[in-house]
Amino acid sequence: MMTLRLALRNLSRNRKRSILTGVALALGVAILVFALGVNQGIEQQGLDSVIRFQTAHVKAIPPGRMDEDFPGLDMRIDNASSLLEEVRNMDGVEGAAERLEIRGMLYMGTEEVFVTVVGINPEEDRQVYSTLDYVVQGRELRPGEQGVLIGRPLAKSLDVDVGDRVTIMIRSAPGALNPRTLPVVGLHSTGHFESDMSSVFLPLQTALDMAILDDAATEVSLRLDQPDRSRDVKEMLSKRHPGVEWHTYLDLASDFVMMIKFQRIVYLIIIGILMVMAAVGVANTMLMAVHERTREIGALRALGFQTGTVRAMFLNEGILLGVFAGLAGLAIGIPLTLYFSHHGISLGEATELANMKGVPVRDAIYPAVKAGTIGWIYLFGLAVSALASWGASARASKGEIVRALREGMI
Amino acid sequence: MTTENNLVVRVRDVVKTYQDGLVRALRGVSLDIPAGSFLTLAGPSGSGKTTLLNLIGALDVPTEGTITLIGRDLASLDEKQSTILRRENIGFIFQDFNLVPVLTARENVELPLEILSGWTKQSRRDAAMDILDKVGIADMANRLPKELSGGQQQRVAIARALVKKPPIVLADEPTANLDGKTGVAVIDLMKRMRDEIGTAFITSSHDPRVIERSETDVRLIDGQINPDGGGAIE
Repeated sequence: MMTLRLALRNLSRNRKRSILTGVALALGVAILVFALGVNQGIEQQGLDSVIRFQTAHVKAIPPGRMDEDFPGLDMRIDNASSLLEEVRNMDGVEGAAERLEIRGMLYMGTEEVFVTVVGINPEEDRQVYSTLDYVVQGRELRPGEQGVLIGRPLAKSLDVDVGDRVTIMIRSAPGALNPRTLPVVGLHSTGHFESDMSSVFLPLQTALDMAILDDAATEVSLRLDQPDRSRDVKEMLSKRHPGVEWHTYLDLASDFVMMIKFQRIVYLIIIGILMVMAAVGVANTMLMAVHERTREIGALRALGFQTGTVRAMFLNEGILLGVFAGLAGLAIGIPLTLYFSHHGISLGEATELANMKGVPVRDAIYPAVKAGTIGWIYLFGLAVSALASWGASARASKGEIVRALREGMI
Repeated sequence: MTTENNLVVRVRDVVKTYQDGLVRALRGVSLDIPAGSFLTLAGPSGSGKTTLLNLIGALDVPTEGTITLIGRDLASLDEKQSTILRRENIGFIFQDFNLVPVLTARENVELPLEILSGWTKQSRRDAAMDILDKVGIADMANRLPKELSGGQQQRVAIARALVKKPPIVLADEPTANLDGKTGVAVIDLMKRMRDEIGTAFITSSHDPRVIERSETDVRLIDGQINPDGGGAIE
């Protein structure tokens, strides 16, 4: 109690210095809260985005299809609707959808581009994927209609508008080229530039008709109520249906998961540098305090203070500095992060670059505020402060009392 | 008459050297100090006064010889035991007061009691106020050291040294930083406290006004007791 009281009062002894050190530490904590919030936001958003636009939680695909650059319709899941029905009724499955993906060409006037034609059942696709939530112009697809949904960037590059007719050509399952001219019913803009530039969506039945197939898909995808169970579900389905390949989002987004791990290492290094800088500030403050109070330390030890008590006095001082500066850092960092978690940090044109670099974010990043992370940052700040004070406190408790009293030196 | 039983300090053939023997601060000093005495170690700068005081206060160890404090041979004590011995039996008064600047006068006086067992918050406060009253500055109990004059700060330091009623108080040049009048008042106060509490005061000083007010003065010259200086209690 006494050492705490002394430490508290000693902090106000050289107020300017304590405040300056505290500000440095507080800024370090605030930057950490914000930077880790942004990082976690990117991770969370990115993974969610990958799942919502590309991988689902668990996905069945025809064997070997993933290894092909331009897989044909010979690699497909026949009788996909019965598989879909089975997985849809499993416990823990929130939604299931089938898709038929075919590489093809899109023509508009004299323009032509390679596209991926995706046949979907709008209602069931929405249970697993979010593409249809991002129809920004026109309307979404209706089951069985003769219409197409294309990405806004693609429409812009081809000078296509809602209501215009485009021709889509695919190679059907028997091998013949099959063109069909369809009206553009809507434009989607998911924020994933590559996908928005290259994917066009048709009702599944229309795609099946063009492919001259009856009941087939190139993927059957599942959304689970507990993503953590993805591996278990995959294992179970792999045993039950060994004729298709089963993958979880962790398998399919392995590049992104790797990138997250790498990014965490980079962040750890940045955190380390920040904290070393803060620690140097605290250590310097505490060493100066020890230096200035050498005679006082000598006097206290002469009065019968154990070296441990003197040590605790300085250690507490550093810890208290960490407590106050840490709270100040949280007071700055949390509101800042909360603000941007609601309003987002606009990436603007950098979105495209981020997508190209494999970061599947939309046009804004929304930092995450997690109580656990904030708790750890606060404790980490305290630990840094305590460690930085350790050396100074050790110095204070060492040395000859006589020399401390006489020369003010330890 | 001095007997072994009423001695608080017994110094025998003490030698203290520094720098591997190149500097001999004390050269075979022997001294007995009875309980309740008021003794001044006098002598010019560098004569060994502070060195002897530090050795008696268990702040340093002699190169040769023995020092017995309250019946305990200091050479037999490790650092922790020395600290406890000081805590329980010795009060210190320093030349430049060495009060803790962030504590009030009362809190400074309470400080030695905080590290002693058996003192409650209230009993510490009562004891501090009692001794501050005795040294005449109870009305300044809530002031910080910087709000007190040099003489008042030294009174607080005296109160801090006496609050636990130790058998020995060591005062190193207690008047050096005070003007003449205040210095005399401080010495008179210390003597009065000795009379009231029975503590032995051992001071070091080269101030003639302190020396002439001392009941016993031990003259040190070049690390030895001057046999002609008188006052050595043997």
